[in-house]
Amino acid sequence: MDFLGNLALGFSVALTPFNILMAVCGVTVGILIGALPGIGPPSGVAMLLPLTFGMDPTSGIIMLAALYAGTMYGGTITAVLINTPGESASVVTCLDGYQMALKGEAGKALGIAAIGSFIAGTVGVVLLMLVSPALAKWSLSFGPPETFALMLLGLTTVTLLAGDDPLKGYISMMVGLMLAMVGYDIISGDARYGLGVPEMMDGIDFLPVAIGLFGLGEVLVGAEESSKAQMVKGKLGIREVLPRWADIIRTKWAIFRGTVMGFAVGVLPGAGPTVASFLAYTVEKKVSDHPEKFGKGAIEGVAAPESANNAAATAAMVPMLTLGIPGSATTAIMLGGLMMWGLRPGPMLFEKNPQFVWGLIASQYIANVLLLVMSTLAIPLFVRALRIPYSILMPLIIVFCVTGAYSLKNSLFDVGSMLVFGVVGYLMKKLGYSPAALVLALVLGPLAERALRQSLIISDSGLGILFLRPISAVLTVAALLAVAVPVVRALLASSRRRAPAGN
Amino acid sequence: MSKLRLLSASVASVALLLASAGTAFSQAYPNKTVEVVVPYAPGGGTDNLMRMITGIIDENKWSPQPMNVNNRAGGSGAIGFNYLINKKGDSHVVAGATPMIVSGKIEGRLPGNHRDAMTILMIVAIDELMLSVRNESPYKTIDDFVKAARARPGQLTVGGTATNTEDHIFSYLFQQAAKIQFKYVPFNSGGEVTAALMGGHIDAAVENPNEIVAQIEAKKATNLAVAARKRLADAPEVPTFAEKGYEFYWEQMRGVVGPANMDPAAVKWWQDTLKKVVATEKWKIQYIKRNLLTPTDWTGAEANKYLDSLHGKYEQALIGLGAVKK
Repeated sequence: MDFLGNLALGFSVALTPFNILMAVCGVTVGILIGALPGIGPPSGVAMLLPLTFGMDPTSGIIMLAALYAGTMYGGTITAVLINTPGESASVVTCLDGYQMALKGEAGKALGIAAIGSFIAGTVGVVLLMLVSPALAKWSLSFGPPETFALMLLGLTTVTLLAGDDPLKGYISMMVGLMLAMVGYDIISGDARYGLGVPEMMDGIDFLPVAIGLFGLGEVLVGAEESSKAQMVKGKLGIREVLPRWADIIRTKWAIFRGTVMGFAVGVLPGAGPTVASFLAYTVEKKVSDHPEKFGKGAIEGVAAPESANNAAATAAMVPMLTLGIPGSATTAIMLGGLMMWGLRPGPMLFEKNPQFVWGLIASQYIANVLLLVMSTLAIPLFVRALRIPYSILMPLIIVFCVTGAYSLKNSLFDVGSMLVFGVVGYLMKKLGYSPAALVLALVLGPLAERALRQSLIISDSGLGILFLRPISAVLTVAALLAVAVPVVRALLASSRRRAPAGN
Repeated sequence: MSKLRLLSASVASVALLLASAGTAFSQAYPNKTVEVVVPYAPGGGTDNLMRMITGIIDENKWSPQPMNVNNRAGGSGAIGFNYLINKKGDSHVVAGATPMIVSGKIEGRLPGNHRDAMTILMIVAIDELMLSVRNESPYKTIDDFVKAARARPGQLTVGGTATNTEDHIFSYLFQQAAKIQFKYVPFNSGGEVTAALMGGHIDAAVENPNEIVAQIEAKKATNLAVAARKRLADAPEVPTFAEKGYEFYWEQMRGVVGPANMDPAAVKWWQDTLKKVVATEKWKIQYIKRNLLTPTDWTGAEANKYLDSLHGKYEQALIGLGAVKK
């Protein structure tokens, strides 16, 4: 394959003035859509899709792909500034991003997220270009047992999210898993715990829950501290707010691990950027030499998940382009777009429409550069928002949370759900329970349950299927060890001290 | 000054009224924004359908009023269709129709159906369903598959989208017709079914033509049989189940539906406008051909009769699946 020739073809397509303009529009709109809680990448792409029908397909997909990349970054802005995740993949960024903002490092958090996103996005495109076919094959080897084992491993990391008290972390997780049971049982078709409310039949949507737990919950906690006149003090010039070289050097491994993790998870069908960002965060905390700083404003806690969600967004294009199988809601909508333009995504696309595929790949490079430049320029502006006195900012955040929850599905039910979980978030925070563990369980729970039950239907040997297949065996054993090792260690320690271990 | 403005405003509005009345009384509909409800999420089949239809209407300026597409997703369509049913008598709300308008009442998810709570405007297309395998599969024909299923009853796995859905009913009817038993594995979306099929995690999959065509073209998958009355024009090599001796017919319809007690003039406007829509080249090429659908343009009694025929089939199948108690 004449690789450089193809890439040159791609850039010659992507670098026409019109296509550059489309990429700029896509990134700009994407950042805005991402920053508005509620309107996430899938609805953003769906809203703009009709606009692209008059265009050349290549220009259309360039705009949509740029938009997707933009949303991944936009969600970070509100997560860092006001603890309200703009879209699902930024939920975990709230944990350390907002803490950094409280320390007056909002610009640094946003900056490192932009740099991480840039690196991850660029590496993602290179991987997309070089190893798509092999990766696509690998992604197909993930059937229900492998998916379940991965989700199980993800759930065992919950104590890492939970802070000081593992027991409270597990309790939060169990509540999240219980909430994840609400709605139609996909296997039997029965309605579960829906209380006859039609809105609950599809399950409890986790984004209003996350907006409530983090955004509104934080406002309620903040309201108590009347002394908190202004969130951020100090100078806010470009020099003061942007990350320094030292920060970038310090986070290089976090960005690298986030990228790898994000890409690997993003390729899998059904997992996507949200799961990737959670896993990247927990991995980062696990390998860190100062895990106690996580949740209190560790810069790696922003760099890793932000890199992961961008890498995953790029990776989701691999199964879409090479197999014609969408790996996420957003790529499913893009796939619909491709078909409306008369393209047939799938194994033949690279052969039949090289200018389209390589134009898209080249435009991803351009979108990443644009994203880095535009976000860096805009950061001082965003950070200034924090100078607004808290008494004015607070009602604005509440408005933001309400409109965000509503705009998700034009549903007042989601607003109610957001409000309820705002109060829950406040209580959890006061009592030392981890909202992040609850959200993680709500994200992974339905995926895990479905995959487990599919595995059991397929299996002739019950749960044995998890150990009979190599990938799922490794992941399952890792998950079991992740639970067992701390327990055994605690037991050993306690027997040595001849005193019951602290829970 | 303000009196003058008031005067000129009222003159203008009277003139507007006269003008709109003058253009012909039959054109009185629509006289305000039409809400087009999509009871499913953006990007799904019904979303594509309604955006295509409103797009064609907009392009040709067939409606004097704007059409506003709203996704009211949830409860497998129950939220959106309930919303429509509650708009009884409101001619300015329509929705994208799926077989849910028939099966929803049987399952107790909707308070009514196409006869008693909604007005079917047109059935615009039929989406066929087929059984597909990947090419590494030992089953090259539908007979191979049935033979294997008889040799190992209840062992083979067939994937499809969700439970008590068209895909699930397809697998039920196939098992009845061929007197075999296999395991149905529900997935969350058509994409996930195809991924599981191509990864070899399931033995076969229930697919709409547009979900599998990319794999067929790349010679990575084969369609064993289609549950239609005759072979598909675009895939003449795929046999029907009936001709192979496993007689059952099953398909998925797509259409446009309004609330009950719609104004007859509004019904007529929609029927006429949809007739024009399905006659456009854009519709035929970009919707029907691209999604490998069978085109239809059934309205009124014809459409209702078709939906009635679905009613009995759904009732029987859903009872058979245990989703509905007798």
